[in-house]
Amino acid sequence: MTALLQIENLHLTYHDSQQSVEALQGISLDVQQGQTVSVVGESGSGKSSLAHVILRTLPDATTVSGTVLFQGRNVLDFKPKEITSYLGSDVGYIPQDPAVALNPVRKIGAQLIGVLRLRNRITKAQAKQQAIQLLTDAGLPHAETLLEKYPHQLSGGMLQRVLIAIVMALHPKLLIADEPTSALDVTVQRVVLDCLDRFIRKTGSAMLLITHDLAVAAERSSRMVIMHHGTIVEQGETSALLNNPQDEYSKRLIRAVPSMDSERLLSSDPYVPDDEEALLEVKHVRKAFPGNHSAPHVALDDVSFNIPDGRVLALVGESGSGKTTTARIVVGTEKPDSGYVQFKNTKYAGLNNRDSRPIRRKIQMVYQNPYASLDPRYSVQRLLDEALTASGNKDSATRRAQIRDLIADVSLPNTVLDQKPGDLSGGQCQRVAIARALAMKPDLMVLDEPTSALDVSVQNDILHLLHKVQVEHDMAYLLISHNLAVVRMLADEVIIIHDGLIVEQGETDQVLANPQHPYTQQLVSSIPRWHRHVNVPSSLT
Amino acid sequence: MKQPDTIAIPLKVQRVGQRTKTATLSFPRHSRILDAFVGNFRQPSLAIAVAVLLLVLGWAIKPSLFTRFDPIQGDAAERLAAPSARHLFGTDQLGRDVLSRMIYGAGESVRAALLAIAIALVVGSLLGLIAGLSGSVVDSIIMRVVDILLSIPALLLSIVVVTALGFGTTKVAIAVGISGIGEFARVMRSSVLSIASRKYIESSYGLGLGHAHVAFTHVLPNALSAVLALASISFGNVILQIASLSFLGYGNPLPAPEWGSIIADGRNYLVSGWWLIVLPGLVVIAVVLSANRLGHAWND
Repeated sequence: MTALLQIENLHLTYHDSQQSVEALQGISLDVQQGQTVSVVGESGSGKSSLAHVILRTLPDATTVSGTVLFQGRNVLDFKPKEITSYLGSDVGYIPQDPAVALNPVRKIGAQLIGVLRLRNRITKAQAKQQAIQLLTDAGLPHAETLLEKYPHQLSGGMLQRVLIAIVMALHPKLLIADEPTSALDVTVQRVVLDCLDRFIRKTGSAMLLITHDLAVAAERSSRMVIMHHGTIVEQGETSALLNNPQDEYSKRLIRAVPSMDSERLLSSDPYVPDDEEALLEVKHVRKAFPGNHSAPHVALDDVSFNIPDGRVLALVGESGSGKTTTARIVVGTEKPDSGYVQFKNTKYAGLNNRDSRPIRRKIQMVYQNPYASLDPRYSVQRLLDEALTASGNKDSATRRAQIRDLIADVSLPNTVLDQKPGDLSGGQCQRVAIARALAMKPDLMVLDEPTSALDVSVQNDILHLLHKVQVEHDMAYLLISHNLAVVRMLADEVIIIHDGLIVEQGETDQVLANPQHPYTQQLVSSIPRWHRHVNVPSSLT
Repeated sequence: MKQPDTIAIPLKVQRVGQRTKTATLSFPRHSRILDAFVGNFRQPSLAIAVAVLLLVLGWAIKPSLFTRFDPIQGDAAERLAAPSARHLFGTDQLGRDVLSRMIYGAGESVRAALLAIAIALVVGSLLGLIAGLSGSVVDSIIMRVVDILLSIPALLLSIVVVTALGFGTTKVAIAVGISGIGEFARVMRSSVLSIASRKYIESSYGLGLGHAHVAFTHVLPNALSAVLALASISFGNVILQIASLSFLGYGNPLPAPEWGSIIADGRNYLVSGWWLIVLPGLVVIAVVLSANRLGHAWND
């Protein structure tokens, strides 16, 4: 049987006024009718470029060679008129951000009905019925009222499902989903992916699922393609590939993904609970923000927890749960409305900026996006110098020596000192951010999703670095994460937060093995598990 | 972003079916200056603008290099002579070479323009910085004052200030500067507002640094680029404003050469000599357009 999509020796080069970049170098792959193929790779691997080639949505300044055969016809030779009929009914596209893909000034119903009437001659009433049916199939409740809403009134997960409904309304033979759930919470991710699966099975479409998340790819595809630097390093049947990767890069990638079977990086010191004095105490904290319409939005509603000296506590929650607000209150950026925060027996929430400074200096934060957290105009040298000066180092000679020590501590070469954040890779940048936090000699570090914005292979390195720092300095961590696998790797204790309330807390392995609260159970079951698929041999963990 | 090692200039674009072929001329990059120089050739209008401004700068710095005629003392025998090889812009009613008066006047105009922009930039930026970083009360107060400044037409405001301060090109420059404060304050404030919410500002406070320190070491340098772009775009407009005020008689008294007053003076003899107004006017237009062009290029 001829493949639905057959790509042969595809080369793609982007040109700008200064240089040419080869994004794809000799890609060859097939997608059969009704098959789901996942394309896995890190940023820069060329996977999104591949999608754009198939969709013919490349900018003008590109050169393409090779063949992309869709049902035997070369897509690259299509005239504009042929492209118009090809897109939509033959090939559909689901982008990462649904908010950008939908028209913000038209109602959902209008957009969905518009698409339905595009290819079929049906009346508005018939289209409306079909639209309601589609939305219900997508698992969205109250489909009739949904038709009257605007995109900004819906959450990310709902928007993505609406978009899937719109795209699948045309019954495309091939669906290209480009990171469809990367911007969504893990529980929502599962719902959206299930919705996608349902539609595909109903229409018999094939799917090209582009993702950086190996676990999602493992769960949802029958064939997997691993891309690196514009080439396909390995492809094959999913479980065979994950069980037995041949290529060095594949092996490294698979090994680097934090999963429920990764090794745990925990301090080996036996923990003796000290009831007398915890390093950080958060008691009955409540925080509300002025709301949009009338009622204030309660971000935190009676949150209490302790962090003992030298322990790693993880705070797990989804967006809107209040975990970011908690982090900001701990660091001192926000003040709670009621309740208090205590560091080494000193309350600091009520103090003004100047008085709380010595305490705030001992609590440092590492942010999710390393590029955003460092001044882009400062060199690494200057950034670290500033931090050291702020922590009281008057002598420039000792500062210089300390800067070199800090850089060595985070395993960076001295050459980065003269570079600016924009010249560094994501992983290097995050190391600099960690070095800067260490320069203040803190007792507690708040890690706000420290690896979420980084590529998979780099994530693993940073997690190991954080573990090393923790052990060497006997540092306490407040680790904020939505990723339970990462939490399992690093944290001694975990707290689950939902809608501003703590729903469960305890030792990490106990909570994950035996979740009590229904929300925790939902979280734990939503984790894409690929060991179900696969027997991961011990040599890989 | 890493800089490439070679500079490639696309020379010819040829469409073959759906694909475009470009040939490139490439040579190794030796310095940033060369890079900027080469960049000029890609956009001829920018090259011309830069050349004009460099010429005027030369006029301002060392006028005697460019002309041998005295801008103050005229030769009565050559009064109201039409443009010729000897007097490129002709002579005025006192026999003074018009081009030489423009050249010597360039220094005045450029100095005045720079002073005006400096006042508007420094005062406006400071106000914008404070407004952007302060709480809503201080912010509102400052911005309402700025709104008042902006609601008065710039030229009118300058005339009012000059009337209060007195005549003379320097005072004209101060007046024009004051009328420009509003715009700079507003641009700076919006730039500051967007920078202040960035994570690296938050993390600077996390280091325990004080508000003033963070404002000047982190917020200001990052917020400056928008204001600097405005400054270069405003340069042309400021020259025009100063020339206008001099034209109206508020600048230095004759016989001091200043572009606006040269044109004003030429009005009286327009019938006998069109070159007294047209050619100096064209020079002013050329400078204004060039400054504008450079400002837009800087913006990019």
